[in-house]
Amino acid sequence: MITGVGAFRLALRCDRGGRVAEIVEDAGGLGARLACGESIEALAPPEGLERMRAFLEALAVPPASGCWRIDVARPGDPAATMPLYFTGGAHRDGLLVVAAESEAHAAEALDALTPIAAPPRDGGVYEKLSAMNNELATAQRALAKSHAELRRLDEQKNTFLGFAAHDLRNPLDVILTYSQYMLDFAPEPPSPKNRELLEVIRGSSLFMVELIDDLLDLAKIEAGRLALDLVSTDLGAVARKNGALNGRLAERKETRVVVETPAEPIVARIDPARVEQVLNNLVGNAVKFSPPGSEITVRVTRGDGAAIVSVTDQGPGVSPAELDAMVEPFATRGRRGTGGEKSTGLGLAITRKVAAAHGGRLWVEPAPGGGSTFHVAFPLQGPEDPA
Amino acid sequence: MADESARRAGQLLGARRRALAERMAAAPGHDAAGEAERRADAEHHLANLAEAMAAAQPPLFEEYVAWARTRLVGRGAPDEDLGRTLDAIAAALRDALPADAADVAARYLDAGRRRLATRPAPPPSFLDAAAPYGDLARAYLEALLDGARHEAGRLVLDAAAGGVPVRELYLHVLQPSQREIGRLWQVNQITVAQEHYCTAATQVVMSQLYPLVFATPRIGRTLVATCVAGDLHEIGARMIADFLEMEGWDTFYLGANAPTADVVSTVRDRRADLLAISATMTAYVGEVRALIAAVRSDVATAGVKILVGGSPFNVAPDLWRQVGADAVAADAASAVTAAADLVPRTA
Repeated sequence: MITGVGAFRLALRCDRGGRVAEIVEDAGGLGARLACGESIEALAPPEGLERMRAFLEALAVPPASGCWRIDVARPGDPAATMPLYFTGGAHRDGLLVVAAESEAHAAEALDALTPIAAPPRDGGVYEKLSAMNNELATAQRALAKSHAELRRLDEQKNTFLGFAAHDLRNPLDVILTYSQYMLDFAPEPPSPKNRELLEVIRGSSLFMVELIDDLLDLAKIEAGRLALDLVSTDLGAVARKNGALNGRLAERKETRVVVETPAEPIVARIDPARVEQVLNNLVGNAVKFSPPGSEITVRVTRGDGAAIVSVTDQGPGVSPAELDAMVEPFATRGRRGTGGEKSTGLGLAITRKVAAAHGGRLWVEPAPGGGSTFHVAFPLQGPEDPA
Repeated sequence: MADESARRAGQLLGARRRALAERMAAAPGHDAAGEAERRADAEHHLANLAEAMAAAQPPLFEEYVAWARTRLVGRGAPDEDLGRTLDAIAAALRDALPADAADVAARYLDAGRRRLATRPAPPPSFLDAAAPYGDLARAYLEALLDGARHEAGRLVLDAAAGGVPVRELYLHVLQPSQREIGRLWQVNQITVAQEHYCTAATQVVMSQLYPLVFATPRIGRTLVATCVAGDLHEIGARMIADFLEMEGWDTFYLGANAPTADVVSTVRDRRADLLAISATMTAYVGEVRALIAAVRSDVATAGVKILVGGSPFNVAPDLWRQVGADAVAADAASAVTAAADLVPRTA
């Protein structure tokens, strides 16, 4: 109850528009005809309406409205009016409005009621816990929804990438074939200047083919369509064959590829074509970034249920932290080899994913005397075989 | 018009219910110890009376009286207590309301007393072993009541992994279990703590099913679903959002207690085709009406189709029209049909 004196006191909780939500106190029956949802303007006779609206506008501007004298209809005698003092302020997400017979009583009533007119405190701890749980569940639902949406977009992106790469590949083959023809088989050999230009066209086209093949591979892997053709294979034999092929590439840069495999075969369940791709990427990178005269070593060892291929170079060296960044697609794009070679920026990303598809992994260690060793482990049993 | 005077009387009472509840709880002749509980009970009675009157729907109050009797008898209150409380409310309203409004209230209270005189029985169990997945629902609930939420969750997730559609799990396992939990609380067989535990566990299970829910190709229609302010019983509305998500709708669930302005701005920003509003008790019907009025009064959202649901709409079949909605749905499955009717596919 309000402590002030006077027969007429009215306290209302309203929304911000002045519509009544609750009659907190009504001594003297001033609000006897006020209903939920009705504007407190209903208290004022026609001649007091404008002032009541001005008061409501003042209430909308915190912190305080001040005290307003407004004539209202006298209870029991609607033809007569009586002066009443209105004050109020923001309260929860609405307004608290108090009216009394004097300015002092109105101010006192507002002070007394502000804490009392708080929402009922029966919303106990269980309700609060429920509310928090609801919020968490709602947030989790929004996350799950956005996760599903992102996955859908990612699939779309991979499909698009696959189509785009495939459609680019065909015209490139035409450019490659015709530039090759003009270089080697045209009835009139090109002039030295034109030969140079044709070499550039051919070299650029070859790089684009490499890039597109990598993109197609990556799109396939990311769309979960990398089907491994697992065969029990001696990894040493794969490494030796690959070393011989890449050795020729290395010779052009005055580097040497040395393959070290144990006498006993190390047989693992692998997809030989994909493992060859891994070796091409790792040895290709080593050749690309090694200084002339240096040596690249490919070792095959057995360890911890896995066959491990390790490629050591004498290049600038890569730390494990740098590798984490380098396995992101396009992270090494634009990085040039020691002979000016370009990089698609996709080789390491593909290598890591091929290793993971086998149930294996890729990691790097500094090599003694500078350079790095890239290791790839392939489980001997293969990814889906029983242990 | 009788309906209009009932509405007016309900709104008059609605504005005074808390002050009245306080006065009734503090009345002489009661011990001080139970005052808070008496006040909460009285306010609940008055809120339901006011909303039934404001909706001009006596059955809403009669149904509430039957519900309250079960709840109070379950807590060990003498059978005649509620009748006495209704008399006390009638007397208090004679002083607090204008005579015409008090007369209306008296008619609603009489209808409540008549219902009370039939000694309404507690509702029967919501679980039926013969119903589809009845055994699974029973096992799920029993695990929850044992406090074994992981075990309960595993039962449902295993069924989903075994090919039982999420819709069936919602309709035949989670929904009846939640209703049964509410019933067990009403008849005082479980505590409020157990009720909240079970509900939280069900929400976790639903979220674990989300990878299956959010997997349908989109059909280009958008739903915003919400409970009204104050209503924490939100699983029903969440189920409706999930059902429409599984139909390919884009759904935005605002949860319990969403402020009106947020609902309006979400409907506007998401260009929603449909707004689904849930109110699980009569006391929240006024909030539904106010929310719909706010949505209709904003030019950007005035045209959105509105679907309502919840227990009061099942008790009073024409209440949905009266609050300004376009349709009503009794459960998540019928919400799908109603949504398709309200927002037909264009192409």
